[in-house]
Amino acid sequence: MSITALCGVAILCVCATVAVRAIKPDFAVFVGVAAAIVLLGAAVSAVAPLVGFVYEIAQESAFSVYMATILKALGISVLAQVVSDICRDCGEGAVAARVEFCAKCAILLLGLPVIKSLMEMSKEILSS
Amino acid sequence: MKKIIFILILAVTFVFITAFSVSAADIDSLPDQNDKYPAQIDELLPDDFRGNTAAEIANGMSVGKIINVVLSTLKALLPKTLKSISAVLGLVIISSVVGVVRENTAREELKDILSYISAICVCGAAYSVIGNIFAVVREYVSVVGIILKIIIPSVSILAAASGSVTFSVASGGVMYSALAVLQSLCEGFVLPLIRICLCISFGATALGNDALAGVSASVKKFASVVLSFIMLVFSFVLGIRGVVAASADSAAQKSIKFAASSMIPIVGGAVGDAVGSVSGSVSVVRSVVGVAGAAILLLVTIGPLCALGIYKLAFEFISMAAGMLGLNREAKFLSDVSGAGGFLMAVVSCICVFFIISLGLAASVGG
Repeated sequence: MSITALCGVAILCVCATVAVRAIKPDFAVFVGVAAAIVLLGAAVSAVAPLVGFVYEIAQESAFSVYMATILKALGISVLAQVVSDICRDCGEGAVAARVEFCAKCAILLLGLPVIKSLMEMSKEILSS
Repeated sequence: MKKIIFILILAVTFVFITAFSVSAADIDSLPDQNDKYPAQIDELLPDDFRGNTAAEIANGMSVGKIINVVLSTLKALLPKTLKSISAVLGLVIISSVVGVVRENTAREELKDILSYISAICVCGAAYSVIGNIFAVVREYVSVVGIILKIIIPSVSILAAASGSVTFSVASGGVMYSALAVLQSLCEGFVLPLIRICLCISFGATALGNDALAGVSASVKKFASVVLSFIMLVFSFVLGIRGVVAASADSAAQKSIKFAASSMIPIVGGAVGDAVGSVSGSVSVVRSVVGVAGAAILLLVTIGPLCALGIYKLAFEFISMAAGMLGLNREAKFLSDVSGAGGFLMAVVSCICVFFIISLGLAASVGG
């Protein structure tokens, strides 16, 4: 991933959005969404080998579930952040807030098995 | 780990038994012992240990072989310990990276939930490591208690057989009572208190509640008081018994005393003061059963202490790293885990000192 290329793409998308807004204001949103998706995709493809490397190391230890939970929670929050920003750009603040609420619920659900296993461990430690 | 400790304690007991039985000059061969061990222990004993003559057994118990056993035990302990610790450290580093991304990208609502998930994952990993250690320590305390309950009456009987009836009654009674107090307080009070303290600390970390952290600190203080009482009882028993005590003036003993006082919390000072009695007891054991017996005795006691010391230091280091990386909640919990490791060291060192001195008394009566 070349940061200069990505910056160039971002500037081009902004210029395109401004230009399209002047001609057809309704389609400017789509240009903005497409730009966000392209940049997010480039960032994810750059980070993917790193995440794969961390997963490989995590598989060898007994704590792979904890590592996976943390990384998935981060992924959910990044995705929810991008979508809520797009919603706010379109003037839909309420939808953006609900997306963030859904992300919070998803992250809590993700952490539920971890919380359950910790409660089991506490029970074992206290009862032994 | 449990099997290795049990085998070593069994080996010490067996050394005493064979030492008493081979003291007669005209014994050329011993009765076949091979069918007396449980199968799961028999497969782990070295081959030379199963000899039918005193010479063969002595060959199996030579210093070189014992040193090999010591080194292989330590080799077995370290990789597993370091693997668990390094996995927790890796988790802390990844959490810190997530923390940086979270601080710079997420909104306030998502920051809190991400911080919570990160904290419980790191704490969960540390919790599962320390949970295994509790089981090992409990097993160790239980096994040593069983062995001492066999040895102390045997010492009393030997002392009575040699004509010192009053001595046998007094010493047996005092030692047995002290053992009962020590074991019941450790197993029934101190270890559960440490577990409760750790669970409260975890709850405080997960909920971010400082009031719970205060409760955890109070429980720790109470456990410290009980441990100090245990050492007081122990010192009283030693005083009554007039235990074998070598001078603690040598440089090696002074450095051991300093190390014990610094590394072991609460009872470190009392354990350091008992170094003279401990070294005297080990000398008595060595004079009766040889270097091999003394080496096994030390291995039985030093192995668990080394493992606990490694865990304590490792968690302290990880706590420091977490603090430096901005994970304050996790750092607090990891510091509490290190503290729990220190408490376990204190319990195990009390038991070990009592065990060594009891065996020294047994050896001095029988030798």
